Amino acid sequence: MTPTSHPARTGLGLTSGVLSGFAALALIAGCASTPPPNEALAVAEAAVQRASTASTSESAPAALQLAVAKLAASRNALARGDHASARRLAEQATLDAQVAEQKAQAVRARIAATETQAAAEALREELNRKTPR
Amino acid sequence: MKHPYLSGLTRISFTAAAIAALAACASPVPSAELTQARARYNAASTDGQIRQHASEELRQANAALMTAEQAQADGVERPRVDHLAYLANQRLTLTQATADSRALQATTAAAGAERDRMRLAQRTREADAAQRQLQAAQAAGAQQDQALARSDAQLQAAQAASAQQGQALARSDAQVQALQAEMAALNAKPTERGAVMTLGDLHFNTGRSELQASGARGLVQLADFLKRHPDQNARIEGFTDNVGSEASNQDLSERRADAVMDALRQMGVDQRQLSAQGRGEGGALASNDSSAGRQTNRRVEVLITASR
Repeated sequence: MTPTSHPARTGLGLTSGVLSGFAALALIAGCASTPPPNEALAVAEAAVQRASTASTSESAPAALQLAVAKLAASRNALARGDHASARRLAEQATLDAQVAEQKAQAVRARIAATETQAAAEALREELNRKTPR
Repeated sequence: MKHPYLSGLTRISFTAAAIAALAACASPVPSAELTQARARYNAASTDGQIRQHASEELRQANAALMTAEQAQADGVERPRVDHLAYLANQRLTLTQATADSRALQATTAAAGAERDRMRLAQRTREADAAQRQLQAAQAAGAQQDQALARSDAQLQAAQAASAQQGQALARSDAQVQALQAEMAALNAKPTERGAVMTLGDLHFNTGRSELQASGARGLVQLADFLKRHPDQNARIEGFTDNVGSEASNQDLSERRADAVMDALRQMGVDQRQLSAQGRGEGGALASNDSSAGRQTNRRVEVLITASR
């Protein structure tokens, strides 16, 4: 049911109908498409590229893969003209890439901490063996 | 041309469509993703490690969560609310990973510092031990030095004593040599019994005991020697040849010995250094068959000996 399909309407009624229709369209447009998210996509591409290191793909492969996949989906959505999805996917890809980076860093930090603690422990044991002599 | 009713109806219908469109976007059921994000944030906001190491990330997660919740409260369409909720959740994941990472880095730094501290302590102990060894070695060296010094002192003392002994020996030698020289000057001949000075027959008148002046002069040197050496004794013995009776010869030898002793005493020699005896015909040095032999046998001997 659209305003233009109504055959009998007055000028005022027509005006009101058109206005109401515009309002509805505006509301629908509000939850659907927006301008192409070029900037968001550029940010996502930069973030994913930054995260796409050998270290990250080794230490946090699933998280990085998620970001890469979202970036690809964002591009596809943009190509379809689904700007809203493209923006959401780009925004998510950006954050996913940051998460992948940070997870990889945590993994590396855990390895470093373990090694350093082991080295300190080894040194302590060595000194404890030495000292009594 | 007015159709108020129709117009109103149309407006109502259009408005209903708009509301329906709104209803399609908003959702009466809360986003499960947003509910999860809220629960995660509540847990994270009380996590000490996160508050210490990722407070800025937590603040950003809170902002993302509030944006999502505001969108849900505003009735924004579900896909967008879910999207915002997803972003909030990822912010929370980022917060957790950041806190983990920084806490582990702190652990690494602490362990590294601990290792450095232990190494330093060990080096300090090693240095202390080396210092103690050095001091011990120095102390031992000092003791050795002292021992060496003591040895040196002992050696020097021994050397000094030795030198003194040497000097004493040298003095004794010198004294002995001087004595021997003096005795030689007395015409005293060294024999097994001691130095013997012989006063020949020519210094006595024949058959008599009186000493002639020549004999007395020979005794001056002996008297002088005995006075300068109170430790030296003179044993005076008289001898004769075998002419005449043995008794008279004994008597003559005694008197001649006494005469010599008297002469020495008169020259100032202490009587305690002197002794005299007659040996008569005994103790002949040569044969009494010849005149020369008999002259040799007639004599007075002075035996010079060190007193005991």
